[in-house]
Amino acid sequence: MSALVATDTASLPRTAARRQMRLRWGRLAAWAWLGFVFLFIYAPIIVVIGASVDPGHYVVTRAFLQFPPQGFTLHWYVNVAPALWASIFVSLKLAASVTIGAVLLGTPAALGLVRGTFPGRNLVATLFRVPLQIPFIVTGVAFLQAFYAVASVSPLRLQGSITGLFLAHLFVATPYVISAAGTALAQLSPRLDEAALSLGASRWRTFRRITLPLILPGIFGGAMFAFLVSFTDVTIALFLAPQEAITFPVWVFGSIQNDLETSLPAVSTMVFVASALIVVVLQRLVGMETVLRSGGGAKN
Amino acid sequence: MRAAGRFWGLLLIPPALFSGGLLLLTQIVFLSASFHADEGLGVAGQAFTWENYQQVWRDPEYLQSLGLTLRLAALVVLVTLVMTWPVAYLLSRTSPRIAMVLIAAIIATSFVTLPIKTLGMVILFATDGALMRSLRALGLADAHFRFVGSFFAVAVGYTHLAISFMVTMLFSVFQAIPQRLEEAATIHGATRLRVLWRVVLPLSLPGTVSATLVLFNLLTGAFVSAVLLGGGKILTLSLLIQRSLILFNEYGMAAALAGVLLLLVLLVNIVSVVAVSRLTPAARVIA
Amino acid sequence: MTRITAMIGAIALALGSLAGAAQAQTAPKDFGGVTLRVATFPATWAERIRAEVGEPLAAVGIKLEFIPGTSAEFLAKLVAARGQPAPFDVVEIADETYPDFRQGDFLKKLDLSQIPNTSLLDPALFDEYHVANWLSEPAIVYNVDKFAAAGIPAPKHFSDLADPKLAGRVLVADISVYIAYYEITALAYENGGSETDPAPGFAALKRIAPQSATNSMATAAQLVGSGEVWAAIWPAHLAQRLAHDGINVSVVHPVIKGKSVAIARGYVGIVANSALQDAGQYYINAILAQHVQQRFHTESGLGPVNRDVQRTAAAVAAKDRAGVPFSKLAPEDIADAWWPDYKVINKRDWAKQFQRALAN
Repeated sequence: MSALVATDTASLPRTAARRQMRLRWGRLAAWAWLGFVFLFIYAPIIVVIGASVDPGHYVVTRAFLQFPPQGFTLHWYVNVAPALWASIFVSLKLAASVTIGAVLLGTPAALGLVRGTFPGRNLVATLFRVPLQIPFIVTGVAFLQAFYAVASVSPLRLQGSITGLFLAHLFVATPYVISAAGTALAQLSPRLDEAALSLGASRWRTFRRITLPLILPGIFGGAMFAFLVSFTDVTIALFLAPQEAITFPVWVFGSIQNDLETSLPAVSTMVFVASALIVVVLQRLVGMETVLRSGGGAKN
Repeated sequence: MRAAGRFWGLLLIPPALFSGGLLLLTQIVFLSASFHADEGLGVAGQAFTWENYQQVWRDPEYLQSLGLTLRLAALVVLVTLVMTWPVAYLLSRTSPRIAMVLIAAIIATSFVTLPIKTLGMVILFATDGALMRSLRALGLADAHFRFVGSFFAVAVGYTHLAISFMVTMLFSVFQAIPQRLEEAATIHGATRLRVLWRVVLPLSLPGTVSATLVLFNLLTGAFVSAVLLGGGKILTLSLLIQRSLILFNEYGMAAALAGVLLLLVLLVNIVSVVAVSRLTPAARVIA
Repeated sequence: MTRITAMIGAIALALGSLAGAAQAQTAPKDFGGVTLRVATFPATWAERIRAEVGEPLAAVGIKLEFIPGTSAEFLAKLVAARGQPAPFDVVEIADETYPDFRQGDFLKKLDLSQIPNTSLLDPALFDEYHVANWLSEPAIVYNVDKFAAAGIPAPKHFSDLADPKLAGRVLVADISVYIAYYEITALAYENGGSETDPAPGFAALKRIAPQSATNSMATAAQLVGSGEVWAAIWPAHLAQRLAHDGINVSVVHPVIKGKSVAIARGYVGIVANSALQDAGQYYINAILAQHVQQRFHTESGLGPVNRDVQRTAAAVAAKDRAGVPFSKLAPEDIADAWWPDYKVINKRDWAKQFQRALAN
């Protein structure tokens, strides 16, 4: 131990200064890297935002996007087809339900996997991982065919229904919550639980007061994924989309395949800004900051 | 504590029934189709046959596509890992307020649906645009390079898809490693680099591997980027499966292709998990 | 006096019956508030239909519901739904999927007497199972300015796109969209082949070495409009849209099989086990009407099937800067059209060869 410590008191200030320098350069490099990654992520977004304010030559419809914008207009922001707003609403409702369902199913599953002791635990863990290993396109078709099979032997009509799509999305979203919550749980020290129980708290109380707040950021992360997967899914929704209302990404995909809906960049920008704000607000509600600050109750 | 273990175990029943039940139902119906010949227009032959799988093996196009899909996924996962590992670590060691805002900024970009982002990428990498001209001037790009229809383009598209997921997953991995451990090592004279290598890396390995696998699985199944940026030249297996289903209505062949892909992906997952558990016997690899 | 009034009367009667034929059925019907599910192209397309015929149909008790997708997707859904109630009633049928629709017995035989507007169509555009409602004209769309700047003469044949000066500047249609069958067929015929012997066509495609192949209208518009690509094998109405945005484009319709223009037809049909045949036929008749056809043509540039609209459209057709119309819409042109013989095309085989031709 002592060998690692600089014992030469005369050179102490110099090594310390050199280390400070290295730290500073290291930090600079790290932040520069972060800047580069952000640039990479944001480059296409900036193009989309720029294209959303570009008037084009022919104001009513526009065949293609331009960047940098050759002018400025908010025309596209104001003239959005009502069907587009409707599809966003459908996607929001669907994603919210899927998220709630995934959390309700995934949290107990994570608890069971991490804390449970029974034979074949690894097998069950694999079972929960499998939905994420099946390509989404296969999931879409497999579910469609399964729904038809079900329809032929029962009065259930799940094909082309929002319920059917909900089930498929829930199927692929739950593993994210299980994974995120499970990881958070695994990092948790069991001593916290033991301490609470030894002080007389019931198991439920322990869970609610101790465990849950500490794994909440993990659940939140998983829930965010679940929402993201459902809100942005194109592949599965293409097969299972309900007749009455299609989801937003399917609408966008269809528009790109056929007739470019000119207000798309504007709508995408609005969705982008809204989601950024909502995520920040949610983070605050969930108390991410306090948990992050305290280090998450990790094992020592 | 055994009773506790069993109690926790019981919690698994509802989600397991849901997930397992749907998995069984859908996969049985779909994979059983792979063992029947396609007689056109979705009609399947009655006899059980290996013909579809044999075709996959015999046909160089399918094998090439399989190789391409796996290569693409592996490459993108690696690149994403290299890009996001330092970022996630840095964010986990900054003030929580800044970290939260920056993470929110990254996640928000995923809400811009991929099809529109790809149009943005097409504009960015326009052959006569500023970016490509500079790259050509710097000698980093060939005069004949065209973005749309290139492996590079699809890789870039996939990377955009992957980054948000990876940053968030890695962030929670790092966030769970107490900073005290690193501080202790630094006090004892270890350099920053050494701390990263000896303390952070081993502790974050299981979580990183698990995140990597999730991403790898996601990417082998992704197909929107390939459709929009692949220009008909980059044919990932998911694209071929979609073509089998929609263009040719060959359910048997599509199911066989999907089955092969699934098998390979599962293999990669198992091998990785085993390899990691060998390396760090003390770490528990969760979902 | 009586002779003149008799003549006027006769003319009025003739005009009246003509008007009657051009409208929906003269006897107003009530379908009793049924919901007609129409499977057609998504987004703007469906909205246009709703805007034009939504109210008139609602007035006779038909409520419209749109299922978005492409013809191939609809076919896939019908295949999956075999033995089940129909997932939709009216379906958009693309040319190249029609043989499959028939082979699978997915279409109901139509009572053409209930679709009187078919009298306004060229006989080649409808039969007892499907009725065309739009036309597109695959051709060469090219950027006149870019060609001039590079010193390339205007293309006359599809094969001219193999010009080395055009390296990396050509866009073609992907095999997953109907236009590909036109480009391969045309290239085949230009190089001594045919639908049954497409190898020369694929060889020609390989010589063209396109920058990419796409099935997306938006991508095609983006690539040509932004100047990324200088020429594309794509339907002519793309040029009309780009010209609106100020791009100097022109269209060439090479002569193939001795015919002057390529026509792709979009049909509608009624699903075999749909319960709404009468409502479906009423709908089909409605979308053949003049105002609907006119709107579709004006907004999307697609060719109308209604002969009256064709005549007016040809007269006011969008032209390039040299005064040449982009599309050939006059009924005489439509009658002198070619299309691939889908009955002899093996799609799987063509897809494979297409892939090989495109591989670097």
